[in-house]
Amino acid sequence: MESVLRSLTVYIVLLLIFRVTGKRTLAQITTFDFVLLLIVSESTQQAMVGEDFSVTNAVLVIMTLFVADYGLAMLKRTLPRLDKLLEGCPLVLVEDGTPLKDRMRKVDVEESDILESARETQGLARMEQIKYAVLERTGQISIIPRRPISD
Amino acid sequence: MAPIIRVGDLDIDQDLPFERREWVVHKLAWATLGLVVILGLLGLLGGNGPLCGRSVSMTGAPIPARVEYRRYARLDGHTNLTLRLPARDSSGEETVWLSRSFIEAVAVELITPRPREERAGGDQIVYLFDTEPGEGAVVCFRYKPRAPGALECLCGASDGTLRFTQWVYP
Repeated sequence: MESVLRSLTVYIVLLLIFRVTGKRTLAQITTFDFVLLLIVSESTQQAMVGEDFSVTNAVLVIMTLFVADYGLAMLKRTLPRLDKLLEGCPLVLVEDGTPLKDRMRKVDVEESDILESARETQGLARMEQIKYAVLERTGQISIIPRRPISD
Repeated sequence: MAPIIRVGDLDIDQDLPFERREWVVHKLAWATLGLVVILGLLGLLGGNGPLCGRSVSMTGAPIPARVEYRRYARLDGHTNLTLRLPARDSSGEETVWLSRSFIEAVAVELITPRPREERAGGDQIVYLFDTEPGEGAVVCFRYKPRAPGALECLCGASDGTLRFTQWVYP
């Protein structure tokens, strides 16, 4: 029982931390973010298994996490408000080539982040070429160019 | 998912009032995370820190022993209980006792120095230590709490007693 409770506690704490620290926390993993992620996983691993390093305990922890994740996905599907609460909403950050700076500041997104995404996904060079930039629920920035790119 | 609305010519489930509430929650969350780190540095979440350790004298003895303990401990984490016994003209033997309920609530891992004798006496576990006659002694119990929550301890030495509570974080 203890392993299940420990795993569920860690699952909920991680869910809350990643949710409340913003969409962009680990959306684009830099080298340092990757190291941070490894440290977080190492710290949580010990909290979940305690001093029991048996295979049974490891299997129990893994299955608890999968069941919790699946259960939450089912709940989100049946309760749209919960889904919105846990996953958030997309947010328009650039409209007709104009960066909405107040929103960008609130969600900690720089113009350079938007231009980077525009270059990577659409091959765009300038802000004026962007029709819309949207901060998605996943933390990624999606770009809609002013005109469809033709070959 | 929020209802799909049209922003310009973009269909999107954007919800600005919700987003504004979320920004406030994010600010509060970051402030809470910062506060937790500060509490950790101060030792209020167990471990070490300036506000974690406590040193108090036992009551009821003319020259009381001092007891050092941590007010906050963690489940499965090591913590120490140190008793500083005053110098007495005795036969080179000191007696220290801990309440049975405390011993049952923790896993004692190490007692330094090793007691000459351990006795179960009613609601107490009594430890006898060899000491240098006329000199004080320091006795240290290293233990792990077995359950989270308030951990009551009643201990005694040199005719004095002390009751204290330790908070154990899960």
